[in-house]
Parts: sequence; structure tokens; C-alpha cells
Amino acid sequence: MPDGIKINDAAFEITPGGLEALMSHQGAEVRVTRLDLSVSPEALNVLLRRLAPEGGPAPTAQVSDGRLQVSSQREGKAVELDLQVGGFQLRLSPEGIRLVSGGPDGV
Amino acid sequence: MALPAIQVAGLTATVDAEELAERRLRLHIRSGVLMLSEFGLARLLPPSLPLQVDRIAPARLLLRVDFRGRIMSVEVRPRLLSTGRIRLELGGLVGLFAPVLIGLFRERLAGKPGLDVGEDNQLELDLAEILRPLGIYLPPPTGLQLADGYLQILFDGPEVPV
Repeated sequence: MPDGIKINDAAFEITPGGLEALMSHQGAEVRVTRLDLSVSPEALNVLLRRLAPEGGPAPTAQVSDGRLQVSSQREGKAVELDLQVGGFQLRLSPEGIRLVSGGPDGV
Repeated sequence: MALPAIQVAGLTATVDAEELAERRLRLHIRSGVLMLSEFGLARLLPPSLPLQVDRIAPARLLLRVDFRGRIMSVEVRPRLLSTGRIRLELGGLVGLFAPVLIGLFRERLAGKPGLDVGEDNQLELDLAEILRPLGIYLPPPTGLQLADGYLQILFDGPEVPV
């Protein structure tokens, strides 16, 4: 995957009301109906730097096959999260958002 | 359900992560299809233009022009130029009044990015120039189609390095 954030495939719609709001600077309303997005490790680290407290070290992330490792420092102590879960599925339902480990291949 | 004003499908693009981290958008579009309904097209035209969209029909746009208080029906044939700009050619009898209408448009379009009077005294539209200030970078369009009720613009540019 090349560096950066890549939209591999997306589709969206703006309704007449949404466009009216957008053009009159009264808000926006976009309906996304398809999204396939890739974020490279480098881009992920750029975004994580934004989460760092003022003057503090930023969390860092490493992504490899089926594994996400996030390291950060809190009050001088190292905190590491190692997710060896293969992948994630994000499910949307009336109950809310559910993040489930495991990819579509059941890993 | 109302027809969407704007529809985008098959979008491939890159987003600049550094810019996004600073809460700014820098989106380089590589390919996709943009569809505008009659409402969408009408709403995107600058309000200073004395134009109203009557109908989008196969290969032509039917507009109404307020010409110094008199309403004239105008048929426009959009054509994609090799430069990527879209030329709006005035057709039919109204073509005879083209120089006068173009003079009126030129007056109303002063300082509007992406819309101007190009070669052969015809109105030209540059979508890339219109969207650039919003942080959206478009490749030149590769196709333009008009059907009953909507206008479709195709983009298929080269891969953009991130």
C-alpha cells in the first residue's frame, strides 16, 4: 500500500436540501453509500501525533500482517497495546457501533 | 424520495494526512463519476449569473436567461475540450444573440474562478479551478454526458503519489 490515506472506492450523495444548506453555509448533509479506505502506517502515525498532549511524546503505531501495535508514554511510563487479532469488522446496528476482532476470512 | 442533487460514484482519491492532522482537507481525486441533477446544477451556478436551469436533456441544456428584464430560452450544448474545460456553446436561434449574451456573462463573471469567456467567445467552465480553493484537486474530465434530468462528468486521471 502506498503511503498516505487512500480512498480505493467511495460513493456518496448530497440531497437537494443538503446542497442548499451547504451553499448557504447553513451546514451540510452527505449520505455515504460506499467506502473503502486505506491508511498507511506512516499516515496513521501522522494522525496519532495530533492526539499527543502539548509538549508530550506522540503515540506511535506499527502495522504488520494481522497485527497493530500502539506505543505511548504516560507520566514517563511506557504503555503498549499489541493487537494480534488479524483484523477488525465494524458493525453498525440500532444498538450502536460494534468493533469485532477477526477479518472476513475468520482469522 | 427526491433525486440527489449531487451523486459521486467509483471515487478513488488520496487524502493528505499531514493536512488532515491540521484539520484541513487536501483531496487529490484520481477517478470517479460525478452526476448533477437539474437542481444540483442550478444551485452550483453563481447567483450573479442571470441564468436558470430549465431542463437537462440528452446532449443539451435548456436554460432561461434574464436579458435586461426579458426572459429568453437558451439551448446550450456542453462540450468537453482537450484542455479539460467544459465549453457551453449557445445553440439555436439564440446563437445569433451570442455576442450580446456573452458580453452580459463577461460582465457578471468578473472575478469568479473557473467560469469565464474563452476562445471563440463562448462560456467556459473549469471545475478543477472552482474546487481547488476547497482543497479538492481534480484531474481533467475524460467524459461528459447529458441525459434526461442529469449531467454526468467522468474523471480518470493518473495515479497521484501521496
